Amino acid sequence: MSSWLLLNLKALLPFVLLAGGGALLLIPAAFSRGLPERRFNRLFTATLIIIVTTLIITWRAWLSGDTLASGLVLSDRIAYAFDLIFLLVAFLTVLLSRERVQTGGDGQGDYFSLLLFSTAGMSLMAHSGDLILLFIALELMSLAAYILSAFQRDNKSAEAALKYFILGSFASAFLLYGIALIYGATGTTHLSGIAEAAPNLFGASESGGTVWLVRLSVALLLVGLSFKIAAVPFHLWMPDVYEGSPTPVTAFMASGVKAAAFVALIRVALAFFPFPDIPWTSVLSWLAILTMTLGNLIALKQSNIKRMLAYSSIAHTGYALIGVATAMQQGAILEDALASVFFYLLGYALMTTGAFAVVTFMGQGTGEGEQIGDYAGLGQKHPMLALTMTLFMISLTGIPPTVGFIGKFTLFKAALDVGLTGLVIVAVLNSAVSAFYYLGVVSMIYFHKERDAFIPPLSTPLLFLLGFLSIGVLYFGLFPEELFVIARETFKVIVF
Amino acid sequence: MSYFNNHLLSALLLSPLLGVLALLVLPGQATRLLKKTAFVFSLIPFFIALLLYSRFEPVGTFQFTETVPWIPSFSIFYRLGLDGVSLLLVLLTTLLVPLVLAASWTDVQKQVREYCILFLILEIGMLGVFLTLDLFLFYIFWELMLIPMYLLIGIWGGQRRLYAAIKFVLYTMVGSLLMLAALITLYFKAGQSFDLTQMRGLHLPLETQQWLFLAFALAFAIKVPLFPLHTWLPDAHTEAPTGASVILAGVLLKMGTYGFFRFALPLFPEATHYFSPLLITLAVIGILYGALVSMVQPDMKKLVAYSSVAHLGFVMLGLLSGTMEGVSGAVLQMINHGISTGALFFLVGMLYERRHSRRISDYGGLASLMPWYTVAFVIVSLSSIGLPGTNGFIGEFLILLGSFRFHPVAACLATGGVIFAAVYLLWMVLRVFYGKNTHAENNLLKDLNGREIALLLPLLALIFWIGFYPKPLLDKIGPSIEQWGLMQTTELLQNGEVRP
Repeated sequence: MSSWLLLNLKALLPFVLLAGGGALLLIPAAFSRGLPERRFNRLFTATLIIIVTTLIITWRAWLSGDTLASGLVLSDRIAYAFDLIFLLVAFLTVLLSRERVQTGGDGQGDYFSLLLFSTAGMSLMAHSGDLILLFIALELMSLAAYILSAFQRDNKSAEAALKYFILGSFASAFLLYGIALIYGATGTTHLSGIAEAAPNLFGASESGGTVWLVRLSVALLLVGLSFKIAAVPFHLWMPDVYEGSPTPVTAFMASGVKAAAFVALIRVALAFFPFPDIPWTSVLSWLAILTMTLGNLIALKQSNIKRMLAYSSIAHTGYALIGVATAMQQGAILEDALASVFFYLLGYALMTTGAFAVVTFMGQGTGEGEQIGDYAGLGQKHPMLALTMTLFMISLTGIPPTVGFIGKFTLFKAALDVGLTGLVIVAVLNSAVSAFYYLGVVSMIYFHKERDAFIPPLSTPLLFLLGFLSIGVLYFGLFPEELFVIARETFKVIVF
Repeated sequence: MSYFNNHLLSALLLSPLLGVLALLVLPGQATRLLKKTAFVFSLIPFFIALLLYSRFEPVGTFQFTETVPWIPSFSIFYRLGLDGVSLLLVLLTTLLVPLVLAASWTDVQKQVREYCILFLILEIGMLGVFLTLDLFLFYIFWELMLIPMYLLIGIWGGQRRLYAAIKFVLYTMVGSLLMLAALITLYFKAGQSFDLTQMRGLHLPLETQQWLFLAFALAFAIKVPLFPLHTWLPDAHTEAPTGASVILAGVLLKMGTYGFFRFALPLFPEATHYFSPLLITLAVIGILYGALVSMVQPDMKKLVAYSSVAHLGFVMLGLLSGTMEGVSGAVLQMINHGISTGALFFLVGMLYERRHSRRISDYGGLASLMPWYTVAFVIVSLSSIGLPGTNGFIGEFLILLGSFRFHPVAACLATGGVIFAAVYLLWMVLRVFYGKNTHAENNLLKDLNGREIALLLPLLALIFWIGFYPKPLLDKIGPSIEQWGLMQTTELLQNGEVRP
């Protein structure tokens, strides 16, 4: 019994380290009133160390290719690969939070612990082999995220957090009910059990009622997960939450929470794949089309850059859904389709964190930098910052030679291979539409006269962050081979 | 040294980067130094291009090829190659960029460093399109030109530059993104390869060909520009700064026709045959419409812009003519148009610098005030009309000769276009240079200075050289057309049947 426990804990090492680290960091935070600068710096450094250590361990685990599928826990390359995304996002968010969080007050020390808890929840989601464990992990990630979104300590932030919490709980209820239904149908919540139960269930003569039970379960699970990835029409919470939260938290949610929900979606879809007569591809295709199109169209009208990025984030979810739809199509080469989703989510994390980093920087101190108009004339005042923002906007549009383009290319390629031509054409037209609002920012930066707004100097963590992300976006745009090999290796073996 | 010799094309392609690096280390305020440095460094690609010209053998195959695996997971190779047609277009590009930088000496004063860097990056994109033999790489270079052009129009452009810039981007993007989908589909049909040289014998079913051809043709037709997808052009050309207008007309528009020549026609012969009546009709409409609209333009730059629609209609007519003469004429005319219209934009820009007006009505009787300018302008206008003795005549004559064989009606209508060209250009010349000068400001206009003469001289020389002795160029174009399977298409177009 204990060796089973140890084995599973070892497989969950990233989660253990992150959650344990987060808990440890709570102790000094609890014993101080307010947060002197030195203590803040120590917490900041400690968090980074925890994340980097976990990153190294996760990378080595991925390289070794060891897999544990104990029914409850599923530590395969997919899990470790997504862990890498989560840890990267967490690392970037911590760097980004340096200035934002320092503005005094109680409980500031909890910020880092909450980030670690949320990341731990994401990691657990990727490692879950059981739907109940998945649910617990999802809740862990979400609850920490709800609190993080309130950290701005103003009305907008509180509203964002409350909206997120209420609507998120509502969606979790859907998810839980879906889990209950599949338990009713198959007698298990293990993903492996669900996959195995498929042939038996539908071979029997009284499969009529069971079919509908399974279908309903899938529908409810999809609703719950669609909320988390902010697919249309379950996206209504997102723009308000993204706008109201502190910008580093927004970046964290846009890249990390989304990737976690995607891995959950992929796991669930793969487990349910053996069930016949579930129209995965058409449902996901329609979801993708609605999400892309609505996200892009509404983004066109935004004048607040955080809202614009929020709606564009919805659009990018749509693009990534194409990959999942492709994977669920008969005859799909899973490793190509899912690798493209992974690649896209990783690339998206880089580009979007970069964009939000610039927004964070612009909004420092005075809380400005939220309107697109605030970026007027940035090209002359701060050429380096302007250049990086332009790079991120170009990458988000999907113009070569950036990682955004390669990501879209791999998604389209996989989709065209299985014949989802219509979907690709919609995606392609949407990309053209998105150029309008992304280049709108570029045009504001370069084509307009400068304003008098004060721009503080760039701090070291932010400089490092922007440089790292810019180089990443360009490098993986020009030489994506290594990353793509990793992505394909990740999905070569599918276990439950 | 041998490494350089074996990788001439890569050296050519990446040499503008040397200029970019040089510009980055210089201080941003030293505008004269920046411009001089940019000009000097932009001569490097030109000299490499001349070197390639001297070593080129007109046998029709792709030469100086380089093949390096780039993204093995997708079978994408870094594949470069040069044939006669691409050689000439490369020469045109590498010639025009230094001239553009020379022309911007007094024109551009703000953010000079960014201006020069953008042109050098644009040059890489343009050269890449002409040099690449891998479809994916082609797409990358095609899109690469988007943002520099957007920034060039938007930052240094005229009154309505924001509108013109975003219109340019959106039009081009829609076309090229659909082309991306077609490209990926072609990749699968060709057995998971992006290798252009392997795709000639594909023989896809007609319906597949038609869809793919349409997607490619859309992207290229927008760039050409083919009526009715031309509406981005007048705005982009007029609002762009002089240098950007020259490059836009001189090179970027050729990408559309080059795309047809290199991709759309040879890869989809049956579909080309199916759609050629439509395309020829649109080309002829473009010739006549472009000419008629040019006639009524009060703004000189817009006049020249619409004339580009007319001229490239000729090129399209030639490409689809189905004869060796027609296609050769079309390719030659691509070069000619680059030279003539490029020169026209330079000249209009020089006048605008002096008086900040492009309205024909603001000028008059300039012949006595600016004699050398008049000489240059008249020569270039005659070249654009296609007067025998100038380059334009050779190109247009070959096109009309070639298209008369199978499309006599189109050829006759196009000939009308030549007459219209004479009308709009000579009428403009009449109003601007001859007649009475009714504006006092014109008396203060200075004639061409040394720099301006130096930059126009190569273009004027080429106008006459190609006009009297086009053989060297035609010798290089001919074999390439035969080899590249265009003759297969043209035979189809001639005989109207589907070959096995």
